[in-house]
Amino acid sequence: MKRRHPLVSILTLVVTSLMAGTATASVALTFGADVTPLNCDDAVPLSMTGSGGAVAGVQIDMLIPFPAFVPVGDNPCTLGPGVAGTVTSALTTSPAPPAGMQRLRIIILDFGGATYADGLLATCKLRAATSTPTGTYVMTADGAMASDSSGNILPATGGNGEVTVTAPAFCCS
Amino acid sequence: MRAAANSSIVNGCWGRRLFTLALLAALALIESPGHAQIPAACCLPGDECQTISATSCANNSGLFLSEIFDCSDLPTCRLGACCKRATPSSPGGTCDGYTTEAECLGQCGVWFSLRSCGAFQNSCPSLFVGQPLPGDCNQNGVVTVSELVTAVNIALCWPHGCLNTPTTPLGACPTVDVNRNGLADVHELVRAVAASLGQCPWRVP
Repeated sequence: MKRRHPLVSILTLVVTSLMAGTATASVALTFGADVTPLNCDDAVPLSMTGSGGAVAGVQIDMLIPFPAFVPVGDNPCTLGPGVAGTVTSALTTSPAPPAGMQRLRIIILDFGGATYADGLLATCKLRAATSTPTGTYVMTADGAMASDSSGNILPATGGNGEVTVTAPAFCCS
Repeated sequence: MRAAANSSIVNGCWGRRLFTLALLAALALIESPGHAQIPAACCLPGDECQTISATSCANNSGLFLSEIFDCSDLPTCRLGACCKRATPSSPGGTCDGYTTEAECLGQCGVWFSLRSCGAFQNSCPSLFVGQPLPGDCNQNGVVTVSELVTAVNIALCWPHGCLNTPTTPLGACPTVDVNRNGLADVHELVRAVAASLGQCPWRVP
């Protein structure tokens, strides 16, 4: 059996580690947490990290517990302060959501070709139905995608968010 | 007087004959196999320039630039052939020889290092045939905002539809599906945006 020189083994280990480090670098799209009184609108934030300023478009699906929550309006998402471009969202069935959930697809890009920095990208308004028991609900991230300005796919991951529903309040802020 | 005139005519004839002979000799030199031994700039793999003969250049897999006599006259050796799309709406392509990669990419071309156009004059157009602009739904060579909106709507709901939004079929804008997987994703939308801004999305496979 042929034996490797110890130096070759060390170099292989170093190169493998470096390559592994490169492969794990990716854009993270994460839904945040929020607390909302029953029957009030809740704004779930969507933030990005690890973009390196090179992201020109993102797409992610939020799997929303249904019928506990429903999106507010046909396009329930709005861009964060100072974020350029457009955010478009719709309840899609492509692919079909798991039972007891709805799939809200969110696409953010700028028709002027701007790129995005890390931080808050958008918030999406949901409303907790009157029949929703108080408690904490997970907003599951699915199908996270990011693109650079040349249309190349960047590795991306999605992070779940959560909404805590509290007792009804007189005023919804 | 007459003798002087005759002498002048004779001298003129000889002058013309000598000039013609010199010209023929020069042409013979150029057309002879020995021409391959006249040194000029040669770009070798690794972008190294050497002033050597065409034969030596070819033997070392270099690109021989016969019109550049000396490497000191060569700004960069990172040269090659550039296949360019004739116009955004044209399916054809043309070749520019001896361009740098940056020049070629700046013109939305496809660049081939250390190659001349000789090998690409016929194959350049084929690089662009059947490659409409991403998001150019009506394939008229221009991507408009309305076409971008159409592409976004496809990405949202196609193929199984949306609950509260009318579904736009992929057939409304098949060119947005760059990777031909039957879907439209955000990276394809970004390419459509790039096309609408006059950038070079067709260069990206």
